[in-house]
Amino acid sequence: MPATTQRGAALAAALTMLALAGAVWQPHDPDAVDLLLRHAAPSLSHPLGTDHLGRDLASRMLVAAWRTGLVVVIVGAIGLAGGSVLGTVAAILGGWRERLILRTAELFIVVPTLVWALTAAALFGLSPLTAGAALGLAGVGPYALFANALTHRVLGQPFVLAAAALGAARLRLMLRHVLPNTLPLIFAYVGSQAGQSVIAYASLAFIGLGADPSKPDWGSMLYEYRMFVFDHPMLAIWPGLAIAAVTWTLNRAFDPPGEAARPAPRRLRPAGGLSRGRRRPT
Amino acid sequence: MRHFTRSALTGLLTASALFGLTALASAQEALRVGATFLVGSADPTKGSAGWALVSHGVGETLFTVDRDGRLVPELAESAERTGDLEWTVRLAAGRFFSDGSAVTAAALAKGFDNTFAHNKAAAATGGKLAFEAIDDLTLRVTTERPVPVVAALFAEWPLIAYTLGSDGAPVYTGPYAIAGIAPDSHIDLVPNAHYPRAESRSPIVLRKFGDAQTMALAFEAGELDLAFGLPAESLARLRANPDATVKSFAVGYQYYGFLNSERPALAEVKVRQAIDLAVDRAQLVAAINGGEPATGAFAPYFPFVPQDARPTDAAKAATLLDEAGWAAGGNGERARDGQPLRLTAVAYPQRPDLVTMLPVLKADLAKIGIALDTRVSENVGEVAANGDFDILLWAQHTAPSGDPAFFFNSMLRSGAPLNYGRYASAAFDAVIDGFAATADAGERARIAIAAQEKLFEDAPVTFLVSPQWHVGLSKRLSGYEPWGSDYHVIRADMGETR
Amino acid sequence: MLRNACAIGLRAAASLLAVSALAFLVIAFMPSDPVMIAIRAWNLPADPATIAGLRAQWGLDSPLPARYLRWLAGFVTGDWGRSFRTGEPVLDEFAARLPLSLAIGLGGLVLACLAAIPIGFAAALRPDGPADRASRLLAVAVQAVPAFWLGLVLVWVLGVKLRVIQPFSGGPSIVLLAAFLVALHSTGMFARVYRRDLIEQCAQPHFRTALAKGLDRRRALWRHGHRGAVYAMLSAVRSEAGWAIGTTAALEVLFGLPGISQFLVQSIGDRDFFVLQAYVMVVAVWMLAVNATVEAAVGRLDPRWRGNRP
Repeated sequence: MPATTQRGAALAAALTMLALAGAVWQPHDPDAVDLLLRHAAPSLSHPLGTDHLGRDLASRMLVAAWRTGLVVVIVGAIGLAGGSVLGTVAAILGGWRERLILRTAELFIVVPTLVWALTAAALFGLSPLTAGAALGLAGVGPYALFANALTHRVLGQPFVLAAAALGAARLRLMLRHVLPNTLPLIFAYVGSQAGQSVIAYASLAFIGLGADPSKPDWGSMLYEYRMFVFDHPMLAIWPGLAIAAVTWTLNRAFDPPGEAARPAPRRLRPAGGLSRGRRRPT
Repeated sequence: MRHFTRSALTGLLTASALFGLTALASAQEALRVGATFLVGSADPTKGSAGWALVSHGVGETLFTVDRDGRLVPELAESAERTGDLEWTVRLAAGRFFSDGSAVTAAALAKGFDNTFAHNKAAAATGGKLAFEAIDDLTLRVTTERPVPVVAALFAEWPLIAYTLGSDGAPVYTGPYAIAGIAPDSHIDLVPNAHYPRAESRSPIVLRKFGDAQTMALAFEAGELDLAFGLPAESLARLRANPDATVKSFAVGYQYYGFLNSERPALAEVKVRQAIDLAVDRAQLVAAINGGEPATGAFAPYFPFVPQDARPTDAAKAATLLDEAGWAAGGNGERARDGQPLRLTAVAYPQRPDLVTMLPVLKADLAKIGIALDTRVSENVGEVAANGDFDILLWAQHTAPSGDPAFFFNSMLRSGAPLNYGRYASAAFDAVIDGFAATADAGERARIAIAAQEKLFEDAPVTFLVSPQWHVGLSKRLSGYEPWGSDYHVIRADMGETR
Repeated sequence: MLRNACAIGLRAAASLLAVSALAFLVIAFMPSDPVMIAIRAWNLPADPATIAGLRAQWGLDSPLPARYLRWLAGFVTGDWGRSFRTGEPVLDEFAARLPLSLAIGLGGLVLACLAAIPIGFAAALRPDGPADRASRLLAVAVQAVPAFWLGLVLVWVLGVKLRVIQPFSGGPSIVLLAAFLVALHSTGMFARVYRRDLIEQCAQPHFRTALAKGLDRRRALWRHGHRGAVYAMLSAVRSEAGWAIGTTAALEVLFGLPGISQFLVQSIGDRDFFVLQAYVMVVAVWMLAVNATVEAAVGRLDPRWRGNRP
């Protein structure tokens, strides 16, 4: 795997560990209500202060982290797995099967994210899981088309045509030649969209589906604390900063800024020994 | 000199004309009112339009509930029972519809007949009513089911008083008339020229706000003269503004929780009493930034509600649970025969205060060892009908027509359609049967208090908070006095300072 | 050209049919019965006569395929059914509300495209410069701030503190604000896509030839890179069109604007079948129209892309 994808995966793993740790340990009980201590300023015992019910904000943020991470992972996994598999398989199969799969993918695109989410909420109730599943499904379409286009580009390369002519099976083609070249680009796309789903959840709650305050995640905290945005803005700023930080990190990991210094397009590398010795052009 | 006088005179005339015009214009400048609800159409039989039309000051009813919670005449003067199913209603003289025609029994009968033909909600209390105009000011009403107090029936919102004009469109009697409706956006109201003191009223633009916080911003920006239903969190900020007045008032909507008597854990009265005692109502009031701890089933301004706040006693609650066999384990959680005591509480997002109260409830019950799972459901009617809850937080106006019987009969009688708590007590039914036997307000108040005492004993519901609502007023409307919940937002007397 | 348009049109019709059938099924199988919801909301007696009456009135007593065909026949002839909640014809309600939603959604997307081009161009011209960093920051920041949050803050700053706009007294300022917020959401992403494609163009041989011929970098980039990058950006518009709908819905609810999304939100709680179905169809038409427009624009302007659509 190229360096950027490795770095990105490592970062994601680190964030996951942090989130899990936060789920297991918090300085205070995140549900402990203390109405004498509402809107307290940050102090030693409450590093981020307390909210309108006197709950410790830092504890809530920690316990919300893993739920937020869950949403991001579900959305990414469904979109990525479903979309890229569909798109790649379609390109390799070709013919009327490809056309059918692409039509289906277009169907997924034509139904907007909002309708998916509202339907899921109406069917199963709104929770980070159902919202994540709905948003993931909504993402399958774009990922499938994207993966399909990328795969076609790879399939047109001489080394792949050569491998096919040599009799390589389609599955082997896909695993050894296509996916290693397309997956990094797809990951870049996924990484750049990671934060969208969290905000989408907050917007859904705002539209009227509501969010359960005793199962916090950063998106629903943004919704819950919107009433205090003018009087106690830090309540909503902390979750917002957390989301921004995670999004920024993932974005930089999967879509690194140094790329502009090397304006050459990512040269598709064939797997196997054929071109290992060749140096990249500038 | 003459030239100067002439131009001076012209100037003076122009100036005074302009002054007069601007004075006229400012007197006619519309009042800007904001609320979170708006009537959808001028047709009173559609949905709950009848209620919204009364709230907007467009329509009136025969009888109404005044600011002290008493049932008083409005378009009618009196009502007498002349038979088991028959009533004679005398109308007040000198009242007119907005098109100038006089209010007569025949005209009202036409309207009521139209309502009963199209709106099934009107038939809820007394069945289908038949109307007969005896003379211009006397109306004979025949009910399908016996009704103890017909005045309360006619204060119900489906029975808004109106007639059908020559083009079949409804015409009303209220202090304002509709000039135009933009659905879900705003309506334009003009003063009804045939209502007394019409010249003292300005036209009104009533704008709907989907979000209460946005309405608070609009009020803060000076774009509203009356903002009805401000969120409690914005009050501190708004009160700091010298040009604005914020008034809070107690409303008839009560916050309470149904305790599902059909669930195994809550089938025992001791467990329900324990929950009722464990809830810290002062904390709930602090959490929602306003209101008072509930004293009973009704708002504190009604004459038929007990005076003392519901008690909170966590120690006693713990003892009750022990007595019921729910022993506290090592971590404080209660269990019996290996089953932990775990309940589910449901609230709905249409009333944000209820959602805010969920975590406080959870913390209060955790203190006595009950684990509470919380859920927010946007389709709460379904949850309520299926009984898919242990505790259901609810907000309801418990005496909309000033009569206590409605709440008990519709929500707590055995087998009643809105009895979401599935409470079935023959003793309680016997107590509220007394309502059918008397029309005397004092006697009905006594029965109501007795019914509430029984409810405190059995705890099928736990009465939580009597909330307050808040209105924001600009300088122009600083004389506005809010009362009557949201049933009379726009009234004959808006308290406008001119 | 005409054959191309026909092909696109036929494909679109087939997609619409598929979407309508799928939506009909999903909506029909949603839990909660609209008849029971209405009975509870209007305090009607829940006796069999009332229930049967409402069911017949709303056409819910026929079997599913018959209902679908009846709806389809009505839909193509202009009868979109009546709302359960308001009793008004659905087509009239949508016709009255659609212009507002289009103004916010479409206007926002157009604004985003127009704003993204200069930003993306400056970012590509000077990598890691201020424009590059700003566009990256924007693309990330909008993923961390929900539209309603930003809307509240903007109204507060502009309407309450600075008093430069009067959003709640009628007038276009609130619609412009909503369109601006929709645009904000997409500008960062469009700028990044545009920039990335411009940079890829830099490696192409014809670009180096242009530089060798003496054109300065900026002019070369514009003349040779701009068109290709716009195609790439237009492709991104397709995926953003879906998000624009969600943002529009949140803003309509926040500002109380009577658009179709606000209507949808009110109708979903009541399981107002005809409104829900009509909404899905209208949005599907919108998405297909955006798709087709982008395809046509790209296909007409650059023949290399025809038949090789990404």
